[in-house]
Amino acid sequence: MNEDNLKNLMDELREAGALEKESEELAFISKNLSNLYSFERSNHLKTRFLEQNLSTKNKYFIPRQMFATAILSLVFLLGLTSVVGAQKSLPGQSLYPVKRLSENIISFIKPSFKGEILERRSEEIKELSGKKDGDTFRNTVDEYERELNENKAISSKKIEEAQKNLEEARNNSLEEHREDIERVIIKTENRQGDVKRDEDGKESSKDDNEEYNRDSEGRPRF
Amino acid sequence: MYCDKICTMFFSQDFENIYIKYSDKIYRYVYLNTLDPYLSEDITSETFLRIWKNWKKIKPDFMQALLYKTAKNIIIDNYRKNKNGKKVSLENIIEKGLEPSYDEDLIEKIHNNENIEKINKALKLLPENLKEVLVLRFINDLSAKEAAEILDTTEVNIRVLQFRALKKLKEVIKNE
Repeated sequence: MNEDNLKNLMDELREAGALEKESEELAFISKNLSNLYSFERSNHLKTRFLEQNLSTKNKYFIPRQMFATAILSLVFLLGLTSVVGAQKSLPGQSLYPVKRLSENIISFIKPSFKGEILERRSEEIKELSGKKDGDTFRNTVDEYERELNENKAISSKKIEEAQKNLEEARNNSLEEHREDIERVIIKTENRQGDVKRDEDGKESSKDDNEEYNRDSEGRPRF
Repeated sequence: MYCDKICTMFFSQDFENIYIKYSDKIYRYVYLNTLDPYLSEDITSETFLRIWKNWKKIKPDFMQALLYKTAKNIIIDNYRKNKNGKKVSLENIIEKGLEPSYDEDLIEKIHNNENIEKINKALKLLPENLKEVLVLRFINDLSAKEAAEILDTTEVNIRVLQFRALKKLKEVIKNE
C-alpha cells in the first residue's frame, strides 16, 4: 500500500467517523496487514497448472501474433498466386477480372507497361479466334479497338507484335470471326502508319536540333 | 474436436493472463477463509477450472468479481460438505484426474510466520462480512468500488465496513 493510498484511506476513515489519531492507527494496521499477506505462489506452480490443466502450452498454444502473421502470409500468398495465375486467363474465365485489375494497377505504378496492353488483347483475340463463343470474342475485339484508339503509349514495335498475333488469329480463326479480325488488322495497319510517322517526326526534329547545335565544322555551339 | 483445438488456441492466452494476474489474490482470499494452504491451492485451481470451462460465455469486464464469487461458492460448498462428513467437492480437478501440486516453500513460510498465525487467529474472531472487507480492501488491495462489486453492496457501505473492521481487528489484537 503506497503513501497516496494510505492518505486516501485515512480520509475515508475520518469520513466514516474515525478521529484523526484513530485514522492514523487504523491505516497503520491496514498497511501491516497488506505487507504480512503479500505472499505469492511460485511461477513454476502457475506454469504447471496452465500446462497440465488446460493443455494450452504443450499442445495447441500458438502465440496470437504468430497466428495472425501466418494467416496474413497465407492470404498474401493466395493473392499472389491468383494474380500470377490470372495473367494467362482469357475473357470469360473466372480469373480474367483479376488480370484486368492487375493490369490497371501495374500501369498506374509503371506507366511504360501501358504499351504492352494492346499486345495482350491481341493475344486474347488469337486464343479466342478458334472458339465458338461469339459474344466473348466480339467484346475482346471491342476492347482491342478501344485500346488501339485511346492508348497513347503504344510503340510501333508493340503494334508489330499485335499485328503478328492478329495475322495468326486470321489464319486459325473460325469463319464467323474472320470479318472482325480483318477489320482490326486494317485499323492496326493504319495506326501503325500514324505511330511510325510520329516516331520518324520526333527522330528528325531531334536530328535537326542536334545539327542546329553544332557549327559548320561539327563542333557543338555554346 | 477440431473446433475445440482452434478455440483453445484463441482463448488460452487471455486465460493465461487472467490466471497470472488474479490467481495469487484468489489464493490469499481462499487462504484467509479456510486457513488451510493446501485446500486453498485446490480451491484456487477449481475456481479457475470452472471459469475456463465457461470461458466463451464470460464477459471480461466482470472477471475479477466473478472469480471471487466462484471461489466463495466453492468455499461455502466445501464447508457444507465437510460439515456433513463428505469429502471436498472439487469436481473439475477430479474430472481431469489431476494430481494437485503445491508451493511447499511458501506453505512452510506461512506455517513458520508467527505474525501470520497471530493475525489469522484475530481474523477468525471477526464477523464474516468484516473479515471479507479487510481481505479484499487491504490484503488484496482492491478499490472500494471493486470490493463493493464483489460483495454486492455500495461503495459507501464498504467504507463504513472497513472502518468497523479495522477498529474490531485493533480491539481483538489488543485483547489477545
